[in-house]
Amino acid sequence: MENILEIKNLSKSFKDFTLKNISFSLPKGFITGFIGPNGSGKTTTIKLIMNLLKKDSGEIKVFGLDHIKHEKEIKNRIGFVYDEDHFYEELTISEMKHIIAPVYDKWDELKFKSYIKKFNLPQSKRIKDLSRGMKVKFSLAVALSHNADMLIMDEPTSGLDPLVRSEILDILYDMIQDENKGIFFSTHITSDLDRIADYIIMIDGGDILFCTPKDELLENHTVVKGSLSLLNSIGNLNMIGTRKNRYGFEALSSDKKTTSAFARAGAVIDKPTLEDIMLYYTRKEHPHA
Amino acid sequence: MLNLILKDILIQKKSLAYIALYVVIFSIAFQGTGMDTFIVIAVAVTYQMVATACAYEDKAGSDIMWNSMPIKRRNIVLTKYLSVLFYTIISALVYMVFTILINLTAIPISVAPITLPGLAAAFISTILMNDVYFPVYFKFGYMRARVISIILFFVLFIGILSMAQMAQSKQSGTLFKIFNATFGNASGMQIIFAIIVAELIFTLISYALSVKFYNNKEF
Amino acid sequence: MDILISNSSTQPIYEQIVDQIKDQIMKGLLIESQPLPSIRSLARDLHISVITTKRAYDELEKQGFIVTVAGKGSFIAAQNKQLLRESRMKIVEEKLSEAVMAAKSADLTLSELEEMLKIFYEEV
Repeated sequence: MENILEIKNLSKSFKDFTLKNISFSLPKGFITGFIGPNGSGKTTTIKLIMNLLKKDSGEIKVFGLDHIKHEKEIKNRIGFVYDEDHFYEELTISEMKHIIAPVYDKWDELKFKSYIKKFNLPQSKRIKDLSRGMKVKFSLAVALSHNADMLIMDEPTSGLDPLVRSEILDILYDMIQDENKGIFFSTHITSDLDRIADYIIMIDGGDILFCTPKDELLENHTVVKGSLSLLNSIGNLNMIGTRKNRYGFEALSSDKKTTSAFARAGAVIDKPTLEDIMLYYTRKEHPHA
Repeated sequence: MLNLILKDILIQKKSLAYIALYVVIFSIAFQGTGMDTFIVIAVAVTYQMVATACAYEDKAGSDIMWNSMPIKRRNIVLTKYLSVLFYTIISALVYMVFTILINLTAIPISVAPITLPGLAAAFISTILMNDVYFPVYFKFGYMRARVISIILFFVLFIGILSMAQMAQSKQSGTLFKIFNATFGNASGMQIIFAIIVAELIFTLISYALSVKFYNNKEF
Repeated sequence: MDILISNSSTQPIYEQIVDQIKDQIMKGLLIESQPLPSIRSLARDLHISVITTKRAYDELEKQGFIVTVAGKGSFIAAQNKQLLRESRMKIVEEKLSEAVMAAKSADLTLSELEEMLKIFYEEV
C-alpha cells in the first residue's frame, strides 16, 4: 500500500458551499501541504476523512481501508491536531491524558512523557491556563504518543509565534524520518510549507486546483512584473491572476515560454513563494476579490 | 470506557459543593412531609450532574475530539447512560454522610435514612428521567435540549401527578379499570418486577434512539 | 560535509546541493567510500523536502559521483582520478583566462602578471 490516503470523487453539499467531486492521493513517507484560502473546503475535507461530516458520495480510503468500515482501526492510527483544541478547560494536562490514553491501543506513556518534557508542558496546569502555543504542543504530544502512522493537522500553527512554529516543524521532520508515516498539513499560512512540504494540494471554492510536488510547483512558476505598456504589447498570454495598477502589472506565469518572452522584454522576474502561488491562483478564481 | 465516566465526574469536582448544598436544602425543605426526601434529592442531584457534564461537553466542543478518536459512537452514548448510575450512587453517598453528620451533631433537622426500596425507587426515577433527556440531548444538542427537556419534564410531572391523583380518588375511569384488572391481584413482588421490566424496555428504546440520533450527527 | 542552501538564488535547491557536493569531491574534501547522510536526515537538517534531496542524490548518481546501495545508503563513488584532475585543471584554466582578461584591461604586462602569480602562489 503506497498511498496513505486516497480520496475519489468526494462530494458534500451545504446550503452555501459545495465540495465538488474532489480526488487526490497522499503517498506515504511524505509531508503533503493542503493549501487554500479561508472557506475553500480544507476543514470540510478533513472532517469528511474523519467522518465528522457525512459524505454525500465518493470514496475515502485511509491506509488502504475504507474509512467507515474500518473507522476504529483507522482512527487508532491517526494523530490529529486541529486549530481549536477541544479539551476540557477545567482539567489539567495530566487529567486529560488519563482520559485520552486508554482510548488508544498503542498508547506509549514513555513517549508522551518525553514530549511533555521536551515541550516544557506543566502537567498540573489546567488547560484554560495554557497559552495557545502550549495547547497546540499538548495536542501534538497526544497525537504523537500512540504510534500513529498518519498525522492530520488542520491549521495547527495559526496564532503561534515563529519560534513555536519552528519547533513544531522540527517535530514533523523527525516523524517523517520513518518512510512509512505520512503527514497531511492543512493551512493558509503557507510559509511553513515553503520548506517542509513535499507535495502541495491546493483547493479553492470546493475544487482541487492542483496536486503536485512542491519543488516542481515552485520551479514551474514565476512572478512577472512589468509596465502596463509591456503587458499591452505582449498580451496576457496564459498568465494567472494578473493584476494591474497605476504603476504596472503583476502576474504569475506557469510556462517557461511566457516567462522568457517577458524577461527578454525587460520585465522583473521573481521566484514565487507558495503564498504567491496561492494568491495568484485564488485571484484568478475570484477576479473581483 | 470507564475513563469517559471518570471524565464526566472529574469535570465536575467543583460542583461537589453544590451537591452538598442540594442535599442540605432539600432535606430542610422536605422535612416531615412524609415524602422520601432521598428520592427527590437523587433525582435533583443526578439531573444537575448530567446537565453539567453535558454543558461542559458542549463548551469544549468535545464531540469533535472524541469522534476523531477510536471510540464507537454508541459507546459514547453508553457512558452517558451509565454515568446516571454513578451520579445516583454519589448522591446516595453524600446523603448518607449528611445523615450521619446530622445524627452525630444532633442538629434539629429530621432526616430519614436511606431505605432499600427508597434507593431502588431513586434509581428507577433517575434512569427514567434521563431516558427522556438523553434522546433529546443527542438529537438536538445541549442548548436546545435544555428547553425541550424542561417542557418534557413538566409534562411528565403533571402526568404522574394526575395519575397519582386518579389513584387516590379511586375514579373508575377505564384506564383505572384496566390497571386494576391487570395488577389488582398482583403481589408486591410482581408489581416491582413489572416496573423493572417496563423500565428496562423503556431504557433500551431510549438508548436505541439516542444511538440512532448520535450516529447521524454531524460536527 | 558542508551544505549551504541559498533561498534567494535562482538556482534550484537540488542543483545547489549537487554542485556543492561535486565541488567538495573535486577539492578532495569528500573521499571515496565516504558515507553520505540519508536523504531523509539531510532533508531534515537542511529543512527542505525529501524529494529535493532525493533528486540531488539521483543526479549525483547519474553523473557518477555517488553510488547508492539498497538498504545501506549512499557513498562517494571512486572517482576517475584522471577525469578529476582534468576537471580541476579546467577550473584553473577558466580562472586563469579570467585573470588574463582582467590584467589586460588593467594594462598589466605579462611579467607584472607573473610577478603577482608568484606572490599569490607562495602566500596561499
